[in-house]
Amino acid sequence: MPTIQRKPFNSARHLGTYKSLLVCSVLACGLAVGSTTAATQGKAGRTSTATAKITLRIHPRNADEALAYNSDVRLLELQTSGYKAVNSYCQMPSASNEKAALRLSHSSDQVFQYRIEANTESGTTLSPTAAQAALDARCRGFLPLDASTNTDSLSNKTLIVAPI
Amino acid sequence: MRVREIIRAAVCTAIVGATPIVWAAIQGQPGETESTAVTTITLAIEPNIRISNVGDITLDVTDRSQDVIFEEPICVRGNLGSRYSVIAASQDGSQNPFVLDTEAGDRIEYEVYFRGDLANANSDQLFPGQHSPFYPMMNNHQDCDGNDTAAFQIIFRSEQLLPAAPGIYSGFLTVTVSAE
Repeated sequence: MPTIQRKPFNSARHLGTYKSLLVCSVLACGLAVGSTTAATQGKAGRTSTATAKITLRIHPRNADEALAYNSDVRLLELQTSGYKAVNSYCQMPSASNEKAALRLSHSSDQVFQYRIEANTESGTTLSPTAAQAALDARCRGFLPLDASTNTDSLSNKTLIVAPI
Repeated sequence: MRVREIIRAAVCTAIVGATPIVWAAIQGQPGETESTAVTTITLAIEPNIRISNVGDITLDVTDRSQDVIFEEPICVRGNLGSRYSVIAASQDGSQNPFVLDTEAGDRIEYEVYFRGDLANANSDQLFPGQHSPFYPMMNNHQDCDGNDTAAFQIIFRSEQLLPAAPGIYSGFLTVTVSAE
């Protein structure tokens, strides 16, 4: 069984955290990623008690489950050989620094076509334009994919749809 | 003499932060040039233990086909040569299972293990509210001088993860160390 082990890490880049980086073992990478911040430490005495908050984020298995989970948006089509849909759902971020999960990657400059669809909680399917608006509303700061033309061009980079 | 004892007790308290007990000692006899009194000094050092270097834990699970195991190294410091035991408890109470909850009310159970010696891979499973075996104290320095001495593990079993609804599960784990 893979074991994820926290290793001590102190860096100015991780302000406000204490031993904040968890390095997963080779086997565990891809299964789960953990991080730690300061918890309530014990006081000295005959007994000493510390309390840690444990958070487990179970991600959806696929886009359909993601829709049932917390998302209204999914990427339906992505047509180009250079691009690959890494995650085809939009996960509501719980913190401003988390990335939403509609993520595309590619290996070269390509023009790609896409079509997105948003499902409302009542099950109504929105048009692409409305879906784009839903994207913006649900996942703040979405990159400006042009739903009206369904085409866009990217240089050699990974496109990550993330809230600002 | 009574006033001197009170002053001595106050000074002692101020210096060592302890509560002294002043017993009647052997008082001096009147003499021409000297008088000798004998007092017995007893210093009782209580066991002193502290758990620290504990962190909150956040895990992201994308593959539920395998158990997810997280190990949290910690510092337990105290009097060298002594021993200690561990009690872990979930947020619901000392005897309830270790569980995390979602806001929607979904629950997932996990297991807790403890390693008292990081040089040894063996660990003991902890059950809610129950004492662990005793472990030797490995360090007596503040926060173990950055060298953690023990670790607890939390394990989410695949059979628990597979049927779980996606979402954010959270809860608290309380770990208490007690000197023998």
